[in-house]
Amino acid sequence: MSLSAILAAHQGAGFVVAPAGFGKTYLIAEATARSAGRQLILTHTYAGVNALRRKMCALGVSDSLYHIDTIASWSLRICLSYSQTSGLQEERPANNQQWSALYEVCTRLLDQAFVRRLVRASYDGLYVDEYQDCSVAQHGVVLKLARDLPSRILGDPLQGIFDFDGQNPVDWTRDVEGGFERLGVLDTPHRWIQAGADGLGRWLREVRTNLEQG
Amino acid sequence: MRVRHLSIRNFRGIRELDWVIPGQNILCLIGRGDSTKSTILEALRRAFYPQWNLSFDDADFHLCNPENSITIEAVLGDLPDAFRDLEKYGHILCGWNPQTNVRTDDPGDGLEDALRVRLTVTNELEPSWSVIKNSDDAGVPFKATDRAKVAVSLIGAVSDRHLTWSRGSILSQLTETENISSSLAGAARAAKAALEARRVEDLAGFDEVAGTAETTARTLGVNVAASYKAHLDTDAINVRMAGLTLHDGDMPLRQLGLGSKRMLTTGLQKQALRSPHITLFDEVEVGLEPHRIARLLQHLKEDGTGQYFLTTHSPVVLRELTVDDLHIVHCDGGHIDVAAANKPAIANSIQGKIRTGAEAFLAPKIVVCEGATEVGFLRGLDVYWVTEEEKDSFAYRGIGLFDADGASKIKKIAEGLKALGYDVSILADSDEPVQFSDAHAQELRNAGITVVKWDGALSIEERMFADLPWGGIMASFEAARAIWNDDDRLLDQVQTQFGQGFDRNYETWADTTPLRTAMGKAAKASGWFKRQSWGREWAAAISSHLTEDAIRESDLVRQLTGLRDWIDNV
Repeated sequence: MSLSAILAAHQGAGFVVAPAGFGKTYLIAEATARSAGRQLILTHTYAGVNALRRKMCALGVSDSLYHIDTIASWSLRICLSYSQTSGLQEERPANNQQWSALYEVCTRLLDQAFVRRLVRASYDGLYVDEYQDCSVAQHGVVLKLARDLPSRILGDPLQGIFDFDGQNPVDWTRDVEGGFERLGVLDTPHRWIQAGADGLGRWLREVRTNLEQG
Repeated sequence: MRVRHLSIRNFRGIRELDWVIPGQNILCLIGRGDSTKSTILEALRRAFYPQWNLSFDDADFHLCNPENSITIEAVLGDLPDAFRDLEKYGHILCGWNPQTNVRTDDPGDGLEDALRVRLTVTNELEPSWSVIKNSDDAGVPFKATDRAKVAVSLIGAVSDRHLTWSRGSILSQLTETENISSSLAGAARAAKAALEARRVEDLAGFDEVAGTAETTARTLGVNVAASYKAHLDTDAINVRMAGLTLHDGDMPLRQLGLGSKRMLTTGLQKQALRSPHITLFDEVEVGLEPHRIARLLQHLKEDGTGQYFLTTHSPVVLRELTVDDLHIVHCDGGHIDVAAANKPAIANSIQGKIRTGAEAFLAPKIVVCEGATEVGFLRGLDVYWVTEEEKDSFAYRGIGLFDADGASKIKKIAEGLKALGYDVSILADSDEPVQFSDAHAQELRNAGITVVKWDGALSIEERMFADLPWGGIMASFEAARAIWNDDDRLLDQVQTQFGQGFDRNYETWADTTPLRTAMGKAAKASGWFKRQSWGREWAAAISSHLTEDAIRESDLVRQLTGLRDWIDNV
């Protein structure tokens, strides 16, 4: 069974180790095409949103099958929509502290029965890309969504940004491996092969193996 | 889906209306002719009109003034998940509190998820449908396909449309195939081919002219590719969906009787109920005999999937309903109130189906009577007044009679009916001062209710036997004997009240106060006239005596004259 089929069929919460350039966007698009119903696909940056959209178009995935957004904008929108309930004060978070506060508000809002029903009525599954860049606060939001949606997260523990400026990123071992099932790993450096740099790709993979084995 | 709240501004006869809609499946609107009942149904139909091309004109605006925009706003509950979709309306749900009947900004615990939809028409006459959260929101468009999902259909006086496959009709809801249009295109091509086959017979004359046109064309140098001939233009013979209609053999079903058409439409409606629906039934009784009305209403009651809004002018319809189903529409200069009839006092006195008093609810003016005797007596008096005194009938004057069934209930019922917008008077005994005291009477008068209450702590029987001329007394006794089959117990009853020295030979009775008093008490205590039909016979027997000069100043005549004044002048 191909990894995209495994992702599409998985009903619980799982993760895939996926280094940059190893076909991660392609995997998400392919799995979305194979999934039943509409998938919520979250990432971190608008560049990421655009890359995913382009891949969906390239693979001819119907846009009724997905909604792609950043974790930040998805969370902000639902908190503003139900501001009476969420109690969100800051409509335009401007720094890490305010964003963290937003995710906490959103995490609480996702405990409301009516919001959970909205989530279930809207999506049949969740993909989160570049998970190594998630903050602990964002991870809280994803955990709440994972109660109502089959969830697959993708990321590369080796790419994790360092904890500067109080971003407080997820701890891959504790947060991801501890709470999600390992569904597979991408191990073919497609981007490097396509660029005609097979050697570089092989070298990268060897370095990874060495790093992972400590 | 269910409409929980409806608010209308500046639509036809309605300047403003705000109606919290109770949870029953059946909501039957009654009220005077101009009370805008049908307009309320029409507003609901337009708020959920399943197509984009709904036309409005100046006459649709209140007082024909398009400067004041029309808004029709409904809070929709019992939502399908399709509307909860965050890509649809999931971001703008509001909450509805079924306990307090109040809308809240957000849904939440103990609240129903609800959608606030609004139709606005400005003086440009362009309708716009939106879903909003707050009143000043622009909202998001409420799409025609989603309006169609609410499945609102009006079964009006003319309901032929639902027996065709036109868009949004019940038949097309029932039709699975997606490509009705292409099967119709085939029919058009077949028609063209059939005509071609009969060219020689049917088109010779036309082709002759076509030949002339062709010659002209060639003369002028217009290029002729083949040759000119007359033929059907597929564009013109485009068989439209609305052209496809239900037939019985060769007869289109629109030729059925009105009632049958409406019954059939309702039955089909139930078939189409793959999802809940909202059905608007204007003048539900039209074209139906009483037994078919009963069957239709039974059908509606058994259908738990729908919310039915009915209007009616028929007591036959009301008799099949309960007081819970009844809502009275009251219009005061464009301000519309819809009040539930199930006020405790009224509901208690009716209980279950509205078997009695159905007519009362349909009349603008109601006389609340203490009991069956009074109701019957007034009915008899009505006949006398019309036939002998050439006065207007109760029916003409819009008078309904309501049996309160006991002195203790009169006040609450009268107040309840007044609160529902009726003009109310009461006809009450004065012999039960605790249950209906002078103070109670005064309270009602202060509330604008006309009170007819006998003087001197007497019942209607006692008052009559005290005040009628002697001829009327004996006529009353005759009537009682006729009602009770000349039963000897009548004499026993008078004797009990009279005591010592009673003469059982009534043919020799003479006019004395003790005898009158004894008869009055016996009539009351033993219920001589305590049925509507008996009260009626009683009135028939004595009416002619009421005009005698001798009793012109009596309390009986003064009170009845007061009642007649109210009937004629209010």
